[in-house]
Amino acid sequence: MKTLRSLTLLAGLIGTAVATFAQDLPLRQILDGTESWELISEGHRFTEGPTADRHGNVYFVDYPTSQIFHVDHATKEVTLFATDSQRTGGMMIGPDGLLYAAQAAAKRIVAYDTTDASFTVIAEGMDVNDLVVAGDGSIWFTDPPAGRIWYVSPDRTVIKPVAENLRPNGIILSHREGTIVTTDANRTALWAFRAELDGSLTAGVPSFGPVELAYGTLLPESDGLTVDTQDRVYVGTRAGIQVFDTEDRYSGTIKVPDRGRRAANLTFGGPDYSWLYIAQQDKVYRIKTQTTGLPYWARDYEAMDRERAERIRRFREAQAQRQREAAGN
Amino acid sequence: MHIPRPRRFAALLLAGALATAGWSQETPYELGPDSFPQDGVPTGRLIEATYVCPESSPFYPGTERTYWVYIPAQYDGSAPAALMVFNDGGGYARLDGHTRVPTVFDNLIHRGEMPVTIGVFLNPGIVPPARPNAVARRNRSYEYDTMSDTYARFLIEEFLPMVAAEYDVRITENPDLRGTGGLSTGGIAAFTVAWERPDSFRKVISYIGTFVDIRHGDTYPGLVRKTNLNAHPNLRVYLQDGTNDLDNNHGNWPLANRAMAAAFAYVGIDHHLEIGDGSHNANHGSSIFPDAMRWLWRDWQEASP
Repeated sequence: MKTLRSLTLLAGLIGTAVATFAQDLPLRQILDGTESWELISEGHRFTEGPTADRHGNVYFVDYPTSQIFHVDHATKEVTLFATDSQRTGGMMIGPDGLLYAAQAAAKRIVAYDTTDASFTVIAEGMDVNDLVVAGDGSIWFTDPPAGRIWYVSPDRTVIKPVAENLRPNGIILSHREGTIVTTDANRTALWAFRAELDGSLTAGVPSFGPVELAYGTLLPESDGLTVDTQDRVYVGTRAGIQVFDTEDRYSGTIKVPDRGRRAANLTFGGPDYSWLYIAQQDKVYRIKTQTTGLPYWARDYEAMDRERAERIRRFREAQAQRQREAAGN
Repeated sequence: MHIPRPRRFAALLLAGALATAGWSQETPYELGPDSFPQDGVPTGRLIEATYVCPESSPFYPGTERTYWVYIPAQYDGSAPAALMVFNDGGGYARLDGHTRVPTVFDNLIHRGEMPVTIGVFLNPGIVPPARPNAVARRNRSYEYDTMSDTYARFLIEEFLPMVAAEYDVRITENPDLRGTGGLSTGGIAAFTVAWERPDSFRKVISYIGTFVDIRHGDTYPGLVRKTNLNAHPNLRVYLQDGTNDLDNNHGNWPLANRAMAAAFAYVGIDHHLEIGDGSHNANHGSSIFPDAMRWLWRDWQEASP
């Protein structure tokens, strides 16, 4: 491990060019100004927990009524998937195709079989709010009243708290599942932690920030999180959906349809995961983006490495060409 | 005698500069003789090492970084030395890097144009990943762009005491003899250190400084204009930028640096703004670095170590 880390350090330093290569990620790389929001579902009380399955179809929950709905992306048909979900908040489809759900009223994490809405209990006995399921099946979930983050191992034998003294709500993995990012109700920043192999969280700093405030408010009310395939981090706040780049820097705010009303949670969906679905109070909207948000289990990291190397090669080639041209002038 | 300088650092720097600025319009800035070893000038020691922030650090736990320490040949421990800290230190410390600070210091210290000065050069921290496939989290923006005293405190309370102990050097406590420098985001960080801790650092050199809205750095001109001047005694700031510098989602670099200089002029902070036609690289800044040092340290003999 020590060697691995040293090598990574070395690579990180040598890789300054790589680091700066994808540095500035303006919002127009996400929305180019031609797209518009599309209403997908309405008449709910407080929507939450959107997540996409292997077809890019989306599940969301109406928190107060505990109803979980399924959205067929192609037809936009919304159907009831499960009732009595015990005030489910955060949800995420895992690599096993199960729908993991944080049931606040029952104080447990469960996994739904999407074919018949039967479920098994994964962890119980603690307050739960939101969760993230890694590509290897590891789960981290938030317990806001206790100020804790919990971890569940892929084989489900280890269930343990891994961070305390926080005010966490939303939770996600960035940096190719190497970093746990979580909101903090008391801060204008998001926390970043290194996710260790045993699930524990180290190297915690509030590095994603500042999260912007809506005028006249003291805190951003950061809630649900998602990431795109480039590992930009998106967070639902009172001011809109705020986007952070891979250097944990604020890229900008995506304004939501019903201004001033917070989109509590969000996910990418659609067959190529290029549609951003948001749960905004009584409604669910979606918008086509210029990026994709592949679920962790759908990512081919080796292919991504090859593509990245190719992009850097092309960039350096173009740069060398410019230098040759400049030298010739 | 002007000797063409390598373009290695330019080759490393931002894609955005190439996309938005005309590469070919730049003046070919070159290093002068002060940036090369001179006969009869003693050479200081340059040490390279790695620092891992302990998990208990209140600043940047778990980060790892390479750093360099320059100890001038004239340092004999009889009196505390002056100090300059450089962010993104590798580019400044390496003898074939963009600025070659150790060589410039050798020459200027030898001629008495600056005090006997310890150089400390830190790279920003990274957090290496533990999980397979994951990539490191780069802590640079959090350390450098944040408008708080965190980075200054990391230097003052954690890093510099480590350096002093590890290399058995005495560093002056006189803030008039302590400076910081950096480029781009490292440039705004250098200013933030002196702005937050005027009791500890009062000299700043920034190339292509990122006084734009990454973490609200664009608000500095307003803050400078609305802060009582005696909160920043003897603050001295050297700014360099180029008309072809970045214009992106965070802001416009040349405008931002002019706004900083205008604010310094308004309140009466000692400053110098050097505007060239470069883009987002160290070419111009490194070529004028010896002059900048002479300007920053011009009355150093009046300060007591």
